[in-house]
Amino acid sequence: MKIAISSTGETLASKVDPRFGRAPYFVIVEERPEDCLKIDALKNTAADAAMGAGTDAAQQVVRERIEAVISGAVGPNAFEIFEKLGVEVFLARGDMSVKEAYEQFKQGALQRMRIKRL
Amino acid sequence: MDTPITITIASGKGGTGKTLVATSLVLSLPEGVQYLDCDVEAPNAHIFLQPQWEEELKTGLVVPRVEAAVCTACGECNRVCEFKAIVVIVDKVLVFDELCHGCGACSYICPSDAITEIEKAIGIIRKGRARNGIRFLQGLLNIGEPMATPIIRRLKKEAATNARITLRDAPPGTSCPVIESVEGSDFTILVTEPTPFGLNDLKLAVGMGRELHVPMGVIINRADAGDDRVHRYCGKEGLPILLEIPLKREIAQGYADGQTLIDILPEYRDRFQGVFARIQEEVRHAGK
Repeated sequence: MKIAISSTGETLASKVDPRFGRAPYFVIVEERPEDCLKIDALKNTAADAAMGAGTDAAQQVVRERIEAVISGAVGPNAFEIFEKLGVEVFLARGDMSVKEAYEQFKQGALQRMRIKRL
Repeated sequence: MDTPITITIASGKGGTGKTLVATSLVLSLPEGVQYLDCDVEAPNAHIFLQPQWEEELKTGLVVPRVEAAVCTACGECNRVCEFKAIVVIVDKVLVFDELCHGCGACSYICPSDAITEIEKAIGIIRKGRARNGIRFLQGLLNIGEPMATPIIRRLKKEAATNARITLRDAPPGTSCPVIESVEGSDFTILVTEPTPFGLNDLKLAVGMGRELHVPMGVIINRADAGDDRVHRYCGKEGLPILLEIPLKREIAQGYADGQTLIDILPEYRDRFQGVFARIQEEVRHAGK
C-alpha cells in the first residue's frame, strides 16, 4: 500500500501539516515486502499558488498512484478528485508527527473523511 | 463644457460609509448622473435611491467542457491553466467551474480540439431610473458564486458612455473586485473612520490607488469618534481631506430608516457640491 501524508517537512519525524493544498511537502510511505517501508518526500509545487492549490496538489499526489491520503483537512475540490479515483482520505491533527499519523492509520485510529453534499 | 468624469467611492475597511457618501453625492449633483453599484456581493444603494427597474441581463463566464471520447489526456489544458480549474487525473479530465476565470486558454491550446466552451451564468445586471433622473445600474452575484470581478467588468461595459458624471460605489477591501471598480476612474474617494482599523485599511487602499495611478481624496466618517492619526497620515501623504462627517445619532437613525445623509441633514447638499468641485480641480491638476 502507498499513502501520502501532508507534512511540514521531508521526514517521518516532521509534523503533519493540517492543510492539504498548501502543505510544503507530502511524505509518501510505501509498504514493501518483509515489513520494509519506502519513504519519499514530494515537494508540493502548488503550496504558494494564488488559487487552485487544492486541485493542483491533489493532481500531484495521485500521480504517485497512492491509495490513501492523510491530512488535517481536504477541501471539496481536492476531495472530489480523490473520490473519483477511489482514494480514501483520513484525518490527522497538526500536532502529530508523520510517523505517529502513519502508525495511527495502520491501527485504524484515524477518522475517514466524508463530505455531505446538499 | 466639462469633460466626462468617473469617480469611484471606495474604502479599505468595510462599513465606513461608502454608500452613505455615494448616495448623497449623487443627489447633490445635477440631474442625469450615472450610478454603478459595484458592490455585487451585497449591493444596497437601491434601498436609498429606489430605482424603477427597466432591464435585467444575465451575465456570466465561459467555462470549458471536455469531450471524453476525443480527449487524449495529454495535460496541456492543465499546464496552461493559471488557476488549476482543469485537472487531468490518469485518463480523466475534471473541470472545476468555481475556480475557472473564463480565460479560454485551455480550449485554445487543446491539440485534439476536445474542449468547447459553454456560457455559465453567475449573476445579473439591472438597469433603471432613480430619483433625480439618476441612471442606476446594479450588479448582483448569484449566491454561492465566488467570483465578483466578471460582473463588475460587465457592469462597466453596460454603463452609458455619454454620461457626464459617473459614480461607482465599490465593494470594501483592496482585492480584485475593488481594483476592477477603481480601474479606469478619474478620481477615487476613500471613505474611512478615525480608528486603528480605519487607518490600517486606508493605508492599504492608498497603496492600491497609487499602483493604479488614480488621484485620491479622503472623506472621514464618524470624524469625532477616534483620534487624529488618520488626519496626520493624510497630511503626511498629501491626501486631501474632502469632507468630515461627525458621529451623530440622527444620521445613524435616519440612514437605518433608508434616508440619505442629505435627506437627514440638508446642509450636506452644499458640502457635497463643494466636494465635487474640489474633485474636478484635483482631476484637472492631475491631468497637467
